[in-house]
Amino acid sequence: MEGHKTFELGAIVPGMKDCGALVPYFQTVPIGYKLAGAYTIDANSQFYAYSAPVKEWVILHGFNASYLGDGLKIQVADKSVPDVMIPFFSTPFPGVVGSRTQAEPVRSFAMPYVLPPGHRLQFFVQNTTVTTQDRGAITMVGVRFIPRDDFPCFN
Amino acid sequence: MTGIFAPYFQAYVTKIISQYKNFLELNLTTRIPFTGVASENLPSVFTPPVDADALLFGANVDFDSDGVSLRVTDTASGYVWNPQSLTPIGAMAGFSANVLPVLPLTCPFFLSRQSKLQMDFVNAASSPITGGAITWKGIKLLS
Repeated sequence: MEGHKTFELGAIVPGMKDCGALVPYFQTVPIGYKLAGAYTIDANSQFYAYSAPVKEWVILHGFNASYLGDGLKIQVADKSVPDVMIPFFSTPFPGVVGSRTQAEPVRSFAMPYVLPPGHRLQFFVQNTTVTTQDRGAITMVGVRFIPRDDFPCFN
Repeated sequence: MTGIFAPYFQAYVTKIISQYKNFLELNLTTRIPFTGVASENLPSVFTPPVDADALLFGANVDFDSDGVSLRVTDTASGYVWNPQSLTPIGAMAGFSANVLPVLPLTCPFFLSRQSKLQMDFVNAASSPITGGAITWKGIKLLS
């Protein structure tokens, strides 16, 4: 279909080719240790977790999590960028991620974040409550740019 | 399209739609054969075949669970939507009690006429689901 030849994200995604497909991208990053099929974050403990890099450009739209709580704190950084998205480690989870029980299950960024090829996100989550948090996982939701030559679906 | 980003993808979607003469509303429902067993790994289920290209805008499930997880693959291209691990259903589909019963994709997905979505479900570890259905909502593109 010829329509896939052209799209422009222009200034938002510098360096992207103007030829390719935009396809859904969901990367779920488990956070915590695995216990009985679920990932668990104990009370007063903290975990680092990293996304897996991919070779294409990814335009991230927002985050979803299986759980929410003001007692969970989160910090996010792109490991290939000498800066952090959350400068102080005090941001409650609901300020950054959405969950299925909310009107916005995928919490939108203020602007889409363009994750270049090979980059990965670091999530640093701290449970400041006195209760264990299970089902620990954050899902990165967005769009992946597939150059047309790499995507045999389109002709 | 969803959220404040829709304008960024509007040109892409408009370009696809402009290749066709007409469109029809399309709802693709697939039964999920959960048997109520905790952490049950189901055989793959597929969307029904469509005799035309389609654009899928979002999905709905008829159950409420944050323990059910899902992986989606486009059978024609082999593209796996979630490359690392299965994703909680709440990130991919809305349910009836939600403000958004159909959770929109960030950008609509082009499903070619020879393709189907392969869906691999895993049931929740606690409070597992029995039965279920997932509905992909979109438009059928007609030339």
